[in-house]
Amino acid sequence: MTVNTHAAKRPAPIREGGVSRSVFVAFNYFLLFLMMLVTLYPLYLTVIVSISNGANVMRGEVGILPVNVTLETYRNIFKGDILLYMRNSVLYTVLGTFVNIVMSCLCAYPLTRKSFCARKFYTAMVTVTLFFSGGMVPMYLAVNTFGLMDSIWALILPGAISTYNMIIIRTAFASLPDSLIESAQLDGANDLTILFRIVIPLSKATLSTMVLFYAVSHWNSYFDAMLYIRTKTKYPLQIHLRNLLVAGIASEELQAAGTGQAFAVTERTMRAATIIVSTLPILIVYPFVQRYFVSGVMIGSVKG
Amino acid sequence: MTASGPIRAYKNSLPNRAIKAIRRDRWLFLIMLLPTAYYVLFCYYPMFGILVAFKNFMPKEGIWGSPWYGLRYMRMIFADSYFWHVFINTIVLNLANLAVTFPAPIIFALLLNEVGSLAYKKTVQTITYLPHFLSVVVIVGMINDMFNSTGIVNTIVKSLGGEQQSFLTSAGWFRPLYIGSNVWTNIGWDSIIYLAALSGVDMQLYEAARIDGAGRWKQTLHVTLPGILPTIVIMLILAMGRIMNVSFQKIWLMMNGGNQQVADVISTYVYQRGIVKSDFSYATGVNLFQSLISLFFVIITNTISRRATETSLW
Amino acid sequence: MRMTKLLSMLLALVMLLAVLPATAENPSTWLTDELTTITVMRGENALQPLKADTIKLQTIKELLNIELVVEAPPSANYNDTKTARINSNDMPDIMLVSTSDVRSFARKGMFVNLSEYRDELPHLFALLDADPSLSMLTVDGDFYSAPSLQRLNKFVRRSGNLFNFRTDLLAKYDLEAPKTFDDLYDAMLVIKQNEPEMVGLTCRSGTRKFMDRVSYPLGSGSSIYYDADKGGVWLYGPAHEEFKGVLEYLNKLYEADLLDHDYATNTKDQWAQKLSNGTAMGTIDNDGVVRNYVAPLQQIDPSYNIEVLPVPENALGEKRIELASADWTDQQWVIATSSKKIELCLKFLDWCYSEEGAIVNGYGKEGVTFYFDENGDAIVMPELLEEYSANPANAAYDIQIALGVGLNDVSPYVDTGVQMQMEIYLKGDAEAQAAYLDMVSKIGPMEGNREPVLAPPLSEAQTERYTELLLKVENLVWQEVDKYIKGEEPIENWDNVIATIKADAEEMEEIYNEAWNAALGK
Repeated sequence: MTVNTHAAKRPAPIREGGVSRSVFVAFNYFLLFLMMLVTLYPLYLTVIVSISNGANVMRGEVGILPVNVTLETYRNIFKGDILLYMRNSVLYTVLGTFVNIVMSCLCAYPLTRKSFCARKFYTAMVTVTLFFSGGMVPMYLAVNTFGLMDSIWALILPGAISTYNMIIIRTAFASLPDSLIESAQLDGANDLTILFRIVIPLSKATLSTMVLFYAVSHWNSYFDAMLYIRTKTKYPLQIHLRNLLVAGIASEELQAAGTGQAFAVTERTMRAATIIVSTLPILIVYPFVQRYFVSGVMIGSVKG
Repeated sequence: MTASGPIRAYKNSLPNRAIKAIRRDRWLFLIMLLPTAYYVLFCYYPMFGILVAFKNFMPKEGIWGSPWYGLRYMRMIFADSYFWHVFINTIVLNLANLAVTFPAPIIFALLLNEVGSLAYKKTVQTITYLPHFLSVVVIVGMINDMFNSTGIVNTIVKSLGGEQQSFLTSAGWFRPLYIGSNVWTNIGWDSIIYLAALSGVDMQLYEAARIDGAGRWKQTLHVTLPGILPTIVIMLILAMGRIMNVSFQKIWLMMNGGNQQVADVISTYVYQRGIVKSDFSYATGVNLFQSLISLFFVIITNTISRRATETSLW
Repeated sequence: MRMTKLLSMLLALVMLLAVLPATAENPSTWLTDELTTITVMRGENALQPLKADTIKLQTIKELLNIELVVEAPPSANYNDTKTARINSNDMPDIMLVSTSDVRSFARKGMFVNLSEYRDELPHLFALLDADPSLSMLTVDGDFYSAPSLQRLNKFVRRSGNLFNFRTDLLAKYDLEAPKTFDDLYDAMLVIKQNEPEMVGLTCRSGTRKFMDRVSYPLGSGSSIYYDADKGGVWLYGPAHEEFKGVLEYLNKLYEADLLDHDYATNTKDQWAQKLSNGTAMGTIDNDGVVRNYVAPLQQIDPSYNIEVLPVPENALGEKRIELASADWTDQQWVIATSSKKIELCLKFLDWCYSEEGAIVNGYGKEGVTFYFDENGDAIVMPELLEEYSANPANAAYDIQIALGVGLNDVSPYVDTGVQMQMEIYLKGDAEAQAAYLDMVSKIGPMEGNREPVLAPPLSEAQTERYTELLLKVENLVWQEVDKYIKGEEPIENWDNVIATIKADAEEMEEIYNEAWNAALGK
C-alpha cells in the first residue's frame, strides 16, 4: 500500500452501477435512518423525563411529550459545588488526555521501528500488562508510596498509557510507509523530530479518535478519584453525579428505622438529568473531533 | 552526528555490537524512557500484588510479609464444580457476544461510508454513538420496560398472532437480549475507530480500481476492506484479550431464577460467594486465572493472524 | 533540711499557681488537654452532603477539645474505598464499616478489641449489655465494633417490609380488611372482577427479594431464618414442608391474575409506577418508601390511598411480619489498631454513646439549635424548622445537612429527632400534624409485628462451611421457585427439591443453631 503525499479530499460518491446500486443506496439510507430512530427514542425519552414533573414520570405518563415541564431537577443537581467539580473534571480531562496522548505516541513510535534493537523486549514489556495487573490494593499501595495521594497526579499518572489505545496508535503509525521515515533520516532528522514532525501529523485521524477515547474515559472516570482523592474540593464531577444516581437506593438503606424518603418521587427525573449533564459536554466537543474522520482528512503535506 | 546509513560494524564482538546498536538507537531509547518509567512504576511494581493469590493476605503485614498459602486458593477455585459451570457460561457468552458485536460496527462503518450526504452521515454518527454514555442501570431498565409481559415487544408479538413470551425470565432469551442490547449500546461508538481507519485509505487506490472497472461492491472488497484490515485484526486480538471480561453490573441486573442457568458468570458467582469484598487473595486468584485464559486466547488469535494477514500484536 | 523543705514547698506553691489558672481554663469536659484531631471516615449520601464546619462540629470542639475531620467518600462506592484502605493498612482513626467487614478484618487484627477496654467504655457497654441480642455482633466472643444504635425520642416510629394495601378499594367494594391470606385472595378477586386491568400484588427487584418479604408472613422463610413459632430455632425455609404452602398460595394468586405477572423482573421504577398510577392493589415492602407514592396517587383521585394493614393470618394460624430493626446494626464504628490516638478515640467513642453525646450529635448546641421542653425532650428551634422548610421535598435532609446532625457525620448513638420534627412540621397545621402522628404511631405496634432477629456470629471455619453449603443449596432452589409460582411444575414435585437439599440444609441449620446457642451462652 502506498500513501500519497499530497492533499487528497474524499470525492463525492460517483454515480455508478445501475438500478441495483440505487436500490442499495435507498436501502442503506433507510437502514441507517431506522438505526437512528432506535437509538434516538430512548435518548429523547431521557431528555423529556429530565424536564418533566417527577410524579407524572413515576406514574408512567411521560412517553412522547414532556408533562408539566420543570427545571427543578436541574436546579437540584446544580445546587452546591457542582461548578467546582465541573472545573476539576475539565482540568483532569484536558491535562490527563494531553499526558495520555504524548506518552502513548512516545511509546508507540519506537515499537514500530523495525530496526530498533530493543523492539521485541519493549513489545513484550507492554503486552504483558494487557493481561496481568496487581489489582486495586497494590495500586493503592503504589500511589501511596509515591506520595501521590490526594493530588491531581494520582488521577493522571497511574493511567498515563492505556495499552489498548497505545496499540491502536501503533497500528496507525505502522501503516505509514518506511520510505517516509528513511528519507527523513537521510535528511538528518532524529527520531524525536520524525515522530513529532512527520508521524504524528500523518496519523491525525487515529490520534483524534484516541483523544476522544482518552478524554471520554477521563471525563467518565470516578473510581480512581474515589480511592485517591480525600479533599472534597478536588472531586471530579462524576463522583458527585454517580453518587446522585444511587442516592435513592442508598437513602433507602439508611431508613431502616423508618425515616422518610421524599426523594423517591424525583428519582427517575434526577437520574435522567444526571445522564444529560454528564453527556452534554461530550456532545458539544464531539463535532470538533468528528470532522477529522468523517469529512476526509488531509493526508499529509510533507514534501518527499 | 546523525545516525544514518547502514554502517556495518566489522568488529563483531557482542559487547561491541550492543554498544553500536544502543548508540544507533539512542533516540529511540530516549523516547522510550518516559513510557518505560510508567510501565515499571505503575504496572510492574504493583504487579507483585499477584503474589497475593498464593498468600494468606494480612493487611498489617503487607504483600511481602503475609504468610504463604501455596495453591490453597487455586484448589478452592478448581475443586468447585459450579465454578466450571460459570466458567463455561462466561466463555460461551463472550464468544457469542464477540461474534455479533465485533462485526457489527465494521459493517456499520462500511454502510456509513457509502453515504454520500455528509450532513446525513454526521447526523447518523452523532446520534448512534450516544447510547454508549447511558448507564447500565438505565439500559437494563429500558430492556425491562420493552420486554416484560405487557411491554411493547410482547404487544407486537401478540398482535401478530404470536404467543406471549417471557423474554426476561427464560434461559433461551438471555443471551440474545444481552448481546442485542450490547450492539445497540456500542455499535456507534465502536465504529469510530473504523471510520478513522477508513479515512486513511488511499484515494488513489479507489481511482485505480475504478479505472479497472470495479463497481462499488468490488471496491469495498478489494480496496476498502484490505485498507482497514490491520485495524480490524488488531481490534480482534484486543477483543480476545477481554474474552473473560463481562459487564458484571449488567448481568447482575438481568439475572433471575429463570435465566441463571446461562446467565451466571464468574464475576457474578464470585460476588455471590461474598468473598471478593473482603478476601482479596481469593479475588486475586480468580483474576489471575482469568488473565491466563485470555492470554491463551490472544496467543491463538495472534498466531493465526500473523500467518494469515501478517498483522499481529507482537 | 528546713531550707530544702521550705524550698520544695515554695516550689510546689509556684507550680500550683502555674497550674491552677491552666486547669481553670481547661473545662472538665475536655477529653484532651491539647487540641487533637481525630479523623473519621464514613460514606456520604449525595443528598446529604456533609459540611465541614457545622455547629455540631464546633460544639464538639468546644466541649471535648477534639477537632473532628470527617472524610466522606461517596456512599455509592464506599465499599471499595473502605476495602482498599483497610487492605492497604491506611485507615483513618475511626470508621464506619459493615458487620461482614468486622467479621473478616477483626480476625486479622485491624480493629481495636473494644471488649478489652470495657472499663473505659461505660456508656457503650451499658447499651450493649442492655440488649443481649447485640451479642450476635461479637467476633469470637468480643466486640470489635460499636453498632449504630437508636436513641429513642417521643417521635420515633417503626417501619418494615409491611403489608401495604389500597384501603380505598376495600371501602369501595365494601370489603373488610383481610384477616387471613385466604380473605386477601377473596378480596382481591372481588376487586379484580370489578377492575380487571389491575395487577393485584406487586413487588420489585426480582423473585428473591419478593420471596424474602412474603415467605415469613406466609409461614416459612426464603433462606435461613429464625422461627419463634416453631420452637425458636433457625431453619432453612425452602427445605421445609411449610415452604410448599408459600409456593402454593403464590401460585393460586398467579393463576387468578392477582400476582403481578412481572413479579420476577420488576425494577424499582416499574414497581413505583404500578403503585403510583393505581394499577397495583398492594405490596409487601418498606412502608416508608411506599408512602411516598401516595401523593402522586392521590393526584389522580384524592380518595385513593395506600395504607399499612395488619398482616393477615397464614394457613398455619400464625400472624407474623418482620419489622425493620430500630438500630442500624450493619453500620458499625471501629477504631483502627494503626491509629496513634487509640486512647482518645475510645474516650470519644464512649462519649458519643452518652446522653450528652447523643444530644449534641442529634441536635447540635443547646439554646442555639434546640431547647429542652418541660418533659426533658429536645425540641428543635421553631425558627430553624421554618428556615429550612423552603424546599419541602428535601427539607428533612436540608436541616440535617446544615446542622450536621442526625445520621450525618459521626452518629453512633442516633437521635433522629430533627428529621422527625421537620417531617411533622411539614404536614402543616396542628390538625394535619396530629393525624399524621396518629397514623404512623399505629404502624409499629400492629398485631403480628415481630422484632427482627440478628444472625448469630459464626467462627471462621463455620463461615467457610456455611457459605459453601448455602451457595450449593441456593443455586438449586432459586432456579426452581419461579416454576412453581407460575404453575409450570406441580407442587408435589417440590418434595424432590426438598429431598435434594435436605442434608445440606440440615447441616446449615445445625451450624446456625450451634452458633446461636453459643452466643447466648447456652
